[in-house]
Amino acid sequence: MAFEALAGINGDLITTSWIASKKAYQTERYHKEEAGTVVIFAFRPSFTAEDLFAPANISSFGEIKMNRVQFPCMRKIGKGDEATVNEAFLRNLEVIIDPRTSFYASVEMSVGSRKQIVFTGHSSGGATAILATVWYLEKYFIRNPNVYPEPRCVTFGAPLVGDSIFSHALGRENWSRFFVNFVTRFDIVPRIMLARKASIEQTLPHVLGQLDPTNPSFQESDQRITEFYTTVMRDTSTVANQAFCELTGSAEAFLETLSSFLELSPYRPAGTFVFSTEKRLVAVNNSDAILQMLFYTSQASDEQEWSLIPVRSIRDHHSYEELVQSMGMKLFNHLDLHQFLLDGQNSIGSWLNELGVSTRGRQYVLAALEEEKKRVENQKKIENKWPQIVKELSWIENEYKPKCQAHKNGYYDSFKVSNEENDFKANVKRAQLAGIFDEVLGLSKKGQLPDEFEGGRDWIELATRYRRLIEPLDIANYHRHLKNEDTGPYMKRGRPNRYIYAQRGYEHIILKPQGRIAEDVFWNKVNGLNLGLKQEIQEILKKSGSECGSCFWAEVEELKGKPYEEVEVRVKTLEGMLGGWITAGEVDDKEIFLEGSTFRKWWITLPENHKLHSPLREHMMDEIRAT
Amino acid sequence: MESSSSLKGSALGKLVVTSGLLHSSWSKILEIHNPPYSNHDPGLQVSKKKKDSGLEFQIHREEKFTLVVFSAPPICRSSSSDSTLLHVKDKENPFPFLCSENNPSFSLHTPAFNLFTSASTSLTYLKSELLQTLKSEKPVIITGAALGGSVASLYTLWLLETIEPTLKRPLCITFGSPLIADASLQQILENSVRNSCFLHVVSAQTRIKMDFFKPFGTFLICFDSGCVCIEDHVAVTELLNGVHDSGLVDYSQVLNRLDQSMLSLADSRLIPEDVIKGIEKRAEMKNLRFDMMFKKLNDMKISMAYIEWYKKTCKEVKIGYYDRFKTQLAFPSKEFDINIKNHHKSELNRFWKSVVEEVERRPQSDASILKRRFLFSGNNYRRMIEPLDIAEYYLEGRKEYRTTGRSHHYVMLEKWFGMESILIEKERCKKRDLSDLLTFDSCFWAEVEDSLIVINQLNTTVGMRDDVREVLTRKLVEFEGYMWEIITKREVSPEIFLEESSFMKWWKEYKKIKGFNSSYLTEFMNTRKYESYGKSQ
Repeated sequence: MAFEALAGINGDLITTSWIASKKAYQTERYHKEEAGTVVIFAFRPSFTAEDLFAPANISSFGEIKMNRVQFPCMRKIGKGDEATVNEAFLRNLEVIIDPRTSFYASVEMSVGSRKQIVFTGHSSGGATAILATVWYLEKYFIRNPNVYPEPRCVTFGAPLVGDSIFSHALGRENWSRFFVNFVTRFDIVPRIMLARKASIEQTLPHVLGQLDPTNPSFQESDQRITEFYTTVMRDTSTVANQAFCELTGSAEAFLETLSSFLELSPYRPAGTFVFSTEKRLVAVNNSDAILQMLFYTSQASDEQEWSLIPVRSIRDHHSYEELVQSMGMKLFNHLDLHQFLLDGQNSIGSWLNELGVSTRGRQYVLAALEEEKKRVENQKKIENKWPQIVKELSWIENEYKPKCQAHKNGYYDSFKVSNEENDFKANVKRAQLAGIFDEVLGLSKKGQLPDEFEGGRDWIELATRYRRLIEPLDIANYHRHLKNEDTGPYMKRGRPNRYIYAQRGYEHIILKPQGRIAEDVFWNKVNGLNLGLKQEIQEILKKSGSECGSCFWAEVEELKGKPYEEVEVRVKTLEGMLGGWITAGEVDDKEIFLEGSTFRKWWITLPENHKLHSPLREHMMDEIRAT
Repeated sequence: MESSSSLKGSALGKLVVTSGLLHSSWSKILEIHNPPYSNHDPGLQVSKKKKDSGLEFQIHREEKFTLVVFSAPPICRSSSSDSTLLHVKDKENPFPFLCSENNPSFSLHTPAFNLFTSASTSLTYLKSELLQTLKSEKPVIITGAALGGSVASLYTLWLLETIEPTLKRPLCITFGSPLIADASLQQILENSVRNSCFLHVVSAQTRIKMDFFKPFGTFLICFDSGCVCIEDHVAVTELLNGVHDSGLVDYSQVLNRLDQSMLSLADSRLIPEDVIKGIEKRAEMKNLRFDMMFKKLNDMKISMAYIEWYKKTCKEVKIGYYDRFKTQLAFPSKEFDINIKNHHKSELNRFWKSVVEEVERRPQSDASILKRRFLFSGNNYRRMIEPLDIAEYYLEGRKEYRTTGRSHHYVMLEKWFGMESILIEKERCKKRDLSDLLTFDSCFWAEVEDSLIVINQLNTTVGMRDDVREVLTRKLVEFEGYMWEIITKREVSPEIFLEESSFMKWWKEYKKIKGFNSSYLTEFMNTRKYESYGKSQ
């Protein structure tokens, strides 16, 4: 067996994790074990309904949004919406990671000694392990990925924890590979979260009693178990079919209408899932494919088997011991895009066959891989356009800007009047670049790019360069056509999403090592300027150009037509931000202080008293002296 | 590997079956047809509205959604294929909002339509009630079997008029219902989001005569061993068209069989391969057409940037872009000029013609969403490019462009802008510099050209009859009035006063005819006030 393929997890580690997970049954919350340079934390599972669905939670699946401050990476960067997780699991984690707990102290110690941590657990203990791993990643690992060892998370028959954004965020940060989830073929627990709370409420306590490994009274056949199994699988089928239709994007409008009548579980598989057959272990990391497999591997192959499955769906939750013991003798295969491209559907088809997946089911799994292939191809298409992007940006940077500067008003002002042939050329390039970036935006919104794309450093850096260089031209264009008069301020009505997404990507990579979020950083900075009552200031600055350096000109345009007394706070905020923007490269100080610059001309008209105390006084004076 | 659209069809079918919506609807249909004695259903709010016509409906307020069930008497054989023609201008037409530019009228199934209109008072009341429900975020299902389903469809179409895009859309579920729409209505709905609100459940054994009435919406076709969901109406026709089969289908049994099939592993292919191929081909074409429209909008911006630049360079040599284009057409020289005509202008024209076509296919209310999206760029395009088409037109020696030569898509773009801009246009700033302004009336140059032709006639025709001369002179006066109006409204570009412009040519000629008769315009021109026209004050 080639477990090395599972990114740093070998057979011994899995066995040790399983043994630790069993020991955790008898503990209050967790069991800690050291094995060489590795520290293992195994969490105790719970088999009460309140620990699966938080009693106070009124939503249909017991879900809740993750806190942005505590988990800044667990969201979509561009759109900004946070990941959703099961509230009961999250509450349980919160108790465990409280700084007063022995768990917290132990993690701190392990981190201090740079030991690798493995989080593990059986059943809902696995759900805790998943969230604990995310917590560790956000709190420690991300601050210094070169110093802190990568964590690992090994779960056995764990319920699903988070939604598609959860899975997307792990993929984007390249963290998915840390999570390995073992699933025995019929185990009901990894499927439970796909069912509506209301539909299983009645039978859940009984079933949980049967699932509890410390409960000696396991009954063989039971009507309530059959009912529970049937309900869960029906809802699983609904979720799997809906997800498939959405993924392959057909009949969108009808699907949308239909879906508004359905209660659909938000939970999706995240990380790698390892399914087990007689002969082999099959590892899958494509979340869409896993979802289909969760449904299709649990179907009966004939009528006779059908009646036995409900019981097996309970018993398989107890069969991880056998799985771990027999692991060494089994083959290990990756059911992934790589294999899919290598030999089409042949070997994948036969592995799925061994897992009891029907012909039709196989087609669904393969179609999910086909969609992944399309996402990879889309990324390649975009990457092919990089040279063109770089070429156009370089022209603006090395030809257009210097020529404009020679005329003593920067490229912003030159573009705004557009009297030269170069302004026209720049306009064409602006439109060409907008086309490319809007296309990327469209793909990213529809989820038609690989998860990693949104977080890729190279792309974010290119998008940042684009935003800093070209957004001023868009602002100039907006004001040249006086759209601020008939449509509204640029920041409120005119700012294209391609810049907003680019800004958020940039903020994300800058701030994530500090574990901070952009809004907090911005408002902290504003508060530091001491301009008055916090709430009033926040109201005044809502959606102002001071939010982002590349919107500097939009703020100047807004302020320049208004009396100073009306906009004093905004003027001072802009001035307060400017220094930081110049240092960060958001604003080009060789441009804005030029003699013909709209900014400079406006600044000169400000009241003497203001100018006397302005942080820009030196700048403006320097320029005057120099000329 | 099985084709993806066949997989989608069956995934969507399974989704519909496991959703439970069919059972909820069907059980209420059974109830209205076989009312249980002493019914004390607390969710049943409006019970039984028996009408003389025989149409009944009930509202059930369930926990998750509200259900409206229609029931109609069995259809009369003799009238089963009658149709009623409705025109957009008919006062009696309850559906004028469905008509599109291309299809100003359509026909409906007469028995269903008559039942629908016979109950119009109570249905109007029901409409306002359902709108309240939808506003409170609760979804609405409208259902019925056989002719009851046909009325349910009509009712849903009617309800959809007032549903804003932000509200939840209702879903109409019919069971074995006669088709109600002719080819025109099918075509209108095909391009509409409304099409997504109809789910027609049909047994695969049923054969429906489709020579006059056509399918719209999504069909769930039920076979013994499973079901498929298909939206593509060509495929639906291929699968269901045939000699009308009146054999009654028991949908209780059909639904039970479907439930059974969900558990079975039999994966029989339900649709023939060639039907699937057709679906795929048409879906691809449709996506392509739509994607292209949005993707190309950006290319069009680039072409507009070129023409904007062209306009700017023309101004520098004291000739407006209109006259430059006209001369260049006659004596092509520079590559840039040729490119403007052959590439940018023709691409822009092609694109905007296709946008107008797309919009005209849609029902009015859907179209307005699209119109708004393209409003400003479309208007910009019209004002910028139409003068160039006019230049070509008059160069060919023709006249009276506005009434005889104008392309349909310009007329439509202007009409839409006129309708929408009432809502948007703000007070224009009096002091604004007009140098980048595009003349509001995109046919302005046609007026100038026609007026030049009139002057030419007056000057060259020997022995002209007095009444003819009078008509022509009146035309000139009218043109002068028009000119003065757009100047005082500041709606014309200052470019027309450039030395080499056709308008200045017109003025020189007109001045001679006018002699010493003074007017606002002659004073404006003679005293060279036009030199400061449009400069920022």
